[in-house]
Amino acid sequence: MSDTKQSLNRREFFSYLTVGWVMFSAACAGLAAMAFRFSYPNVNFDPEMEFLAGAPTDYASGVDERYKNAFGVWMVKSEGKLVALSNICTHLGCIPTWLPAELKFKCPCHGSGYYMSGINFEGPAPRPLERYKVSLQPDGKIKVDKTKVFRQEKGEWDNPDAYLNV
Amino acid sequence: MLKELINKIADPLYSFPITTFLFYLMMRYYRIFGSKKFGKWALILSVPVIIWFLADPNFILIILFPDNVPIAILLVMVAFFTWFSLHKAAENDVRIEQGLGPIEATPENREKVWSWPNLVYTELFAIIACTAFLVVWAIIFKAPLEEPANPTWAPNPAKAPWYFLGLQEMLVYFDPWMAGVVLPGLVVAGLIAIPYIDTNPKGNGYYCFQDRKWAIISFLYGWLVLWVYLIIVGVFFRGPNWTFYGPFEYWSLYKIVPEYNINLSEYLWIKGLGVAMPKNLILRESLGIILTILYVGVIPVWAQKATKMGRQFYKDLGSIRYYIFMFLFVTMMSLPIKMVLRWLFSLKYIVALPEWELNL
Amino acid sequence: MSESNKEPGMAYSMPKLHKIMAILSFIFLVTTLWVFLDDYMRPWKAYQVEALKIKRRHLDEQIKAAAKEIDSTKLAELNAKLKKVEEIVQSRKSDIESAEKDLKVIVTKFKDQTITNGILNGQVGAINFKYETSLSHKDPKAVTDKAFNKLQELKARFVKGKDSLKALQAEEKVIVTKITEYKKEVTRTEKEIKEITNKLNLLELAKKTTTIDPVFALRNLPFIDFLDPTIKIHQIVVNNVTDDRYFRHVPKVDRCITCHTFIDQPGYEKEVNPHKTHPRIDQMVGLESPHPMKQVGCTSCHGGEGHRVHDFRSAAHMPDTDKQKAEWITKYNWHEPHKIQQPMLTKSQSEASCVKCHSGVELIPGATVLNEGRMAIEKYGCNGCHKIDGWEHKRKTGPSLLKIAGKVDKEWFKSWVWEPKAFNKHTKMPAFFMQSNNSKPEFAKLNMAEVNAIAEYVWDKSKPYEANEKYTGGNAEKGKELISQVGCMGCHGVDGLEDNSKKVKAYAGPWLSGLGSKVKPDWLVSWLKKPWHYQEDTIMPSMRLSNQEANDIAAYLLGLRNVQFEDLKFAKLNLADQDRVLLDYYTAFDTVASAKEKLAKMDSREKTLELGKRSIGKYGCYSCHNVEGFDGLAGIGPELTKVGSKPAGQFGFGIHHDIPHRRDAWITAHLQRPAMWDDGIDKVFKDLNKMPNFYMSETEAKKITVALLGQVSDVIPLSGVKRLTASETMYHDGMKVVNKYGCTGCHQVDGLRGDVLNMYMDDINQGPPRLVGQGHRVQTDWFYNFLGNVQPIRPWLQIRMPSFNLSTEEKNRIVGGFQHGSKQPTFTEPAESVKWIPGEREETIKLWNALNCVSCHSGGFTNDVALAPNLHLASKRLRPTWIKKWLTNPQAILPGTSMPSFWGDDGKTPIETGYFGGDADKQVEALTKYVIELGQK
Repeated sequence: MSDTKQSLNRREFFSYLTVGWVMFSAACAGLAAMAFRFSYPNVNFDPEMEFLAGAPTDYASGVDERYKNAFGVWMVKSEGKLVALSNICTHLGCIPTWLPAELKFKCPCHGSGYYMSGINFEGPAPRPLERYKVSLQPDGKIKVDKTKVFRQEKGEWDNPDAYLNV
Repeated sequence: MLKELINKIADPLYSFPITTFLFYLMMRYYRIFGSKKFGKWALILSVPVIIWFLADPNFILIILFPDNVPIAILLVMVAFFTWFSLHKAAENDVRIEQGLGPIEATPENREKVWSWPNLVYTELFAIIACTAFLVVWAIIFKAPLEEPANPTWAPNPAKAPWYFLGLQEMLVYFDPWMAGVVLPGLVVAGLIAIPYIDTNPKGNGYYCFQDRKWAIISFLYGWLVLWVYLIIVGVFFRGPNWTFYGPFEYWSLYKIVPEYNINLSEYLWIKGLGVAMPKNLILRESLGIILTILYVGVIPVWAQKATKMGRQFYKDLGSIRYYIFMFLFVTMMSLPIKMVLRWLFSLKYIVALPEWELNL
Repeated sequence: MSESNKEPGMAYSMPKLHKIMAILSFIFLVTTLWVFLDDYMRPWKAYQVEALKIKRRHLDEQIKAAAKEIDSTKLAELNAKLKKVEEIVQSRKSDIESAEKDLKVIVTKFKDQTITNGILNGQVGAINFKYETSLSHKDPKAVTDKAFNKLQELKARFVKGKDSLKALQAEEKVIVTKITEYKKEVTRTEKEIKEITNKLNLLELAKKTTTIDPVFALRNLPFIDFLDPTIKIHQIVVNNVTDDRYFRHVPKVDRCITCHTFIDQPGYEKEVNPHKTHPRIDQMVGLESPHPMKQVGCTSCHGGEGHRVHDFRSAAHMPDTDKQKAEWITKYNWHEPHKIQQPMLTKSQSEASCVKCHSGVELIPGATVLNEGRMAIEKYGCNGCHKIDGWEHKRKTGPSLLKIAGKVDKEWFKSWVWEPKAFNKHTKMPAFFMQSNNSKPEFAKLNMAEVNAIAEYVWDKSKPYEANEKYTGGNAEKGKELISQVGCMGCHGVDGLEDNSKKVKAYAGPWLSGLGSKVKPDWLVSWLKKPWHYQEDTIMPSMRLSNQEANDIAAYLLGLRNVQFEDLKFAKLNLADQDRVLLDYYTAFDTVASAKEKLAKMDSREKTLELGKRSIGKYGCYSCHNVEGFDGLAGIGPELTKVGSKPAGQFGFGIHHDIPHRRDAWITAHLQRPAMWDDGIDKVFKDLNKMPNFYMSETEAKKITVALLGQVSDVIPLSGVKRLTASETMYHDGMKVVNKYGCTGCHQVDGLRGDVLNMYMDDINQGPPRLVGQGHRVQTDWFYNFLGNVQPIRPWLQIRMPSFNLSTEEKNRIVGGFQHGSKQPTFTEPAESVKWIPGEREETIKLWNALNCVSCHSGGFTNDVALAPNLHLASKRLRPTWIKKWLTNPQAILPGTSMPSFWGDDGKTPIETGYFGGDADKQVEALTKYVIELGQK
C-alpha cells in the first residue's frame, strides 16, 4: 500500500482503489444478474389459462360441457348463479364425468361423487371441486380465468369473483 | 485503372511472388524496416490508402461482414508486432555489434519485481479491458439472425473461420488429407519440436536478429507468407465457389475461371509419351514417386554434403536433429513449390493414388 | 519501465495502478449497464405502450357513451328508493339477526353431522369388507353373524345420519329463504340499480387496468420483469398448421399480436396499423369467423417470420406499393429482407395462402384476386405446358386440329400461327415468333421453315371433314341482334358488340373476329347447328337455332373480315432452312457428318413432315390443341405445383438486375414478356427460350402471380386443412363440370361469377336466372332430364339456355353436385296427391284470385303474354319446400326479382289479411298445395 497510516479519512476511502474494486464487483454482479434474468424465458408455452365463454344467456340451467375438452371447465348454471367448475377430481386428479340422469359428477378412477354444485358427497374425494374466477367483460362476454382458484372448504365460494349472478 | 491493376495482381499467381519478394526485402533491410521513421511513415501513409480501400463498395462489403471484423483487427496487430519486434531486434543488434549487450541485459532491466501486483494486477486490467471490449462488440455486432437452418443448402461461399482460412486456401493446391491433416499436424508437431531441434543458445530473453538469423527468417516466412498471407487471400480474395475475386471486384455468382488440372502421371503418359496409363499403380505414378523421394530423401543429404550452410547445420545440430529439421523445412517449402507448379503447369497431383487415398 | 520514484520490487507505482483499475472498472460497469439497457429497450415495447394509450382513449369514449345512456332521473329515483327500503329492512334488524343466529347453529350442526357421516361411511365400508371376507373364508357362523349384525347396525345409523343431514339441509334452506325474504326489497332495488350502472362500472374497471401507475412501472422494470410483466410478448401457438424446419414440422408460433394488439377486437377499425382491427373480421380472425385467430394464427395466411419480435423489420413485412415502400424506408429504415426465403406476402397477395388449405375446389368464395388469377390461368391454359397438381381434369384450351383441313385453309393457318394477334386482337393464343429473342433474320427464317413444316404435318394428319349443313345466305343485321340476345355473349366476345363484350369479359370461347376471312360458310352453319359434329369434345353447345337463325348469324359473322390478313402471303418453305433445323435435331447425339448422311437419305416430303412433328413437339402445341401423334405427352414447361416455395436463388434473372430478386417479381415480369431472360445472352437457335408471349397486362400478370404464389410445398396437417365433407366434395365435383362448360359464364352460382349478367344491369330479370341453392329448388329427376332435353321455362327471356353435349356421367355429376351442395338427402320431394282440409281449397282459390297470380303466370290460364313461368310445370320441376320458401320471401333468395313479396320483408305479414285468419304460414301452405295440384291434374 502506498500509505502506512492506519486511519482512513473520507478522501482515502473514496480512493481509486475502493472505487475501482466496488465498480468491478458491481459490474460482475450485474453480469451475474443478467445471466439469472436470462434463465427466465420471455415467452412460455403454457396452455391457455384464460378464455372467453360466451354470454350468460348462452347457457341453459344445469351443467354445460362445451368447454370441458378445450379448457377443462364445466359451466354450471343453477339457482341464479353461473359458476365455472374445475374438472379435476380433488382425490387424485382424474377427470370425472357428468351423469345427467343421476345429476352428479362421478369420477371413474375411485368413484368420487359430486353434486351439480361441486360439493363432494360420496367416495374418497376429500373436498369439493374447485371453482375458477369468472368475470363479465364490458361487451357482455364471460371471461374465465383459470389462474385464480376458489375452494369451498376455505369459504372462498362466497367471493364475488367465484360466481356470476344470472 | 489502379483498381483494375490491384484486382489483377491480387491473384495469388502474382501476389504470392510479390509477397515473397517483399518478405525478402524486409529481412534483408530489417534495420530500415524496423526504424521508427519507417514505422511512422508507414502508419501515416497507410491511412489514406486504407480509406481509399474502404471507399470501394465491394471492398467494404467484405470488411463489414461480421465474420471478417476480427481478422481485420488482427492484421493490424500482426503488422504492428512484426514491425515492433524487428525494431527491437535492430536496436539490440546495433548494441551487440557495439559490444554493449542487449537492452534486456542492462542492470535496471535485470531487477526482479513482485508478481502481485506487477503481473497479476496488470493481467486483471487486461481481463477487464478485454471483457469490456468483447461486451461492446457483442452489443454492436450482434450475431446475425438468418433464415432457419437448412441442412440441404450450403452458403456460397462457405468459408471457415479466419484461423482456418489459410488451410482452406491450401486445400486448393493439396489433397484434403494432406492439406487438412498431414501438413497442419506437421506444423503443430514442428512447432512443438522447435525447442528440441534448436540448439542455438543465443537469443534467449532478448530481441535480436543476427544471433538467430535463420530461425527467425524461416519462422517468419512460414508465419507471414505461408500463413497470414494465405489467410488474407482466403478472407479478401476468395468469393462464391472459392473463385478468385480481386478486392474491388463484385462477387458475381456467374464468374467462371477456367481451371482444368492435370496430374503429373497424365502429363507423362498421355500428353508426353502418348500411351495409355499403365494398369500397375506404382508404374503409373513412378515419376512422381521418384521425384518425391528425391525431394524428401535426397535433398537433405545433398545439402549436408554439398552446401556450406548444410554442413554448418549438420555440425551444429547433429545428425538426428538435422534430418528432422530438414524434413520439416522441406515439407514447409513444398507448399510454395506446389503452388508455383499449379500456376505454371496446372499441375494437380505429383503422385495421384486415389485408390490408396494418397495424393501428393 | 525503470523509473526512479518507485519502490523496490515494483515495476509500477501503486497509485497509478489503482487509478487504471478505477478507470477500467468504470468502463466495465458502464458496458454492463449498456448490456441491460440494450436487452431491455426493444422497439416492440413502444408499440404496446402506445396500444395502452389507444385502449384508454377508446374506453374513455365508451364510458362517456355509457354514462349518457344512464337515465339519471331513474337512477336518482332508485337510489332514493334504496334509502327507503334500507330503512324498512333495518326495521327488521332483530328478526334478521335472530334468523342469522339460527342459521349459524344449523350450519354448525350440519358440519358436525357431515363429520359423523363421514366416519360412519368409513366404518360401514370396513365392516362390510370384514363381513364379506369372513363369508368367503367360510369362517364359523358366530363370527360371520357378529360381523353381519354390526354391519346392519352401522348401516342403520348411517341411513339415519344421512336422513338427519337432509333434514338439516331443509331447515337451512328454510332459514335462508326467510332471511332472503326479509332482505328482498333491498336486494331487488340493488339489482335494479346494478342493471343500469353495470356496464359503466365494468368499463371503469377495465380502464383501471390501463393506467400507468407505480405498480405498472414496477412490473415492467428491467430485471424484475421476469415475474409478471404487463408489457410482454404475446404469442399464438397453432398446433394444426406447421412450419417446415427441414425434416421436422413444428407448430407455428406467431408473435405478431405483440404489436398488433387489437387485430382480433372489433372497434379499432379507424386506428392506424399496427393498432387496427383486421379487415373483414367476420371472415378472418374474429371469434365467430371461419378462421378464428387462435386456430389459424397469422403467418398461415400472411407468411413472414411470425416468431420474430424485435422490430418492424424482423417479421419481413413487404410493402404493397412503391409509395408504401418509400414510406417504410423513411419510417422504419426498411430494406429487402435478403436472408428470408419466404418473406411476408404483400397485402394484395395474401389470398395466395388460401390455396394450401382449400384444395379441391374451383373457386373460393371471398378470394376475389385469387379466383381471378385462377380463371386467368385456366383462360390461357398455362396448366397445359406447366403441370399443376389438381388441375389435370381441365380441358385443352385450344380447338382440336384433328380435322382442321375442313375448317380453314393452309395459308390462313400459317399466317395465324406466325402472328395470331394480326388476325384477332383479342385472341388467347400466344405468339411464339417475332419475339425479342428470335426476331433476328437468321432465326426468323428458321422459324418460318418450322411453321411451314407444322402446317404440312397438321394437314397431312387432318381427317377429312364434310360440313353437315349448307350456307344459304341470311340477314346480317338480324344475325347481329340474335348474337347479342340469344346468349352467345356468355362465352364469346364479338366484333361489333365491343361494349357488351367488354362488360362480360367472357373467355370460355374465342373472340369472334374476322371469321369471313377464316372459315368456310358451310362449316360455320354446320358448327352453329351442331358443334360436336366437327369436334367431339367441344364445350360449345347448340342454341337450338332454326335454319334461318343459323344462316342469319353466319351472315353476320362471315361479314366480319380482316382484309389485311387475307392479303398476307406466307413465305414458301425454304429447303435449306428446313435441313438446317433438322440438322440441329439430328446432331443432338450424332456427329454432323452422320446426321447429314441421314438427311440425304430422306425425301423432301418426309423431311418436311419430320420437321413438322419435331416442331410441334418443340413448341408444345399439343398441350392446347389435340393433334394426332401426341397423345399422352406431358407439357414442355417446368412444373408449377410448388413454384410458390421455389428458392428465389433458383430463378434466373439474366441481365435484369433492376427486377427485385424475389419470386413474385420474377413471375410477374416473366408473364409479361417470357423471352426477356434471353436478353443480352448469346444463344444458338436450339437453346432459345420457347415460352410464347401472351401479351398480358401487369394487372393480369399480378393476379396470376398471386394464384401461383399459393402453389407451395407446405404440408399442412389434416387437422388444419379444410376437409370437404362428402356432400361438399360432390358439390365441388359438380362445379368442375359446371366450370368446364362455362355455365358460370351465364349463371351466377351461389354468388360466384355469372359474367353475362353484366349485360343486364338495368334489369337483372332479363338475364339468365341466378342459381341459389339450386339443389333445393329443383327435383333432381327433372333437372337431369332438363340438361339433356332443354325446354324453355321463362317465356319472357330472349336469352336461351343452350343444349350442351353432356355425357351421362357429366349430367349425373352436375345434378348430384347441386343436390348435395344444398344438402338435399333425397332425389325428389314426392308431391303426393294433394289432400285438402275441408274448406281449405275454396279459401285458397279466393286467395289465389285476390293475389292475381294469373296476371304474370298466365301460362295455361289466359292468352296474355307470360311474364312468369308456367305454374302447371311446377309440381314436376320444383320441390314443394322450396316453393314455400320462395313464396315466403322471394327477395331473400333472388334480390331484385320481379316476383312480389306478398308476405312482407319478414315473410310473416301478409298483404291479404282476410284469408286463413291472416296466418302467413297457412296462406303459403295453401297456395303451395294449389300449385302442386295444378301440375297433377
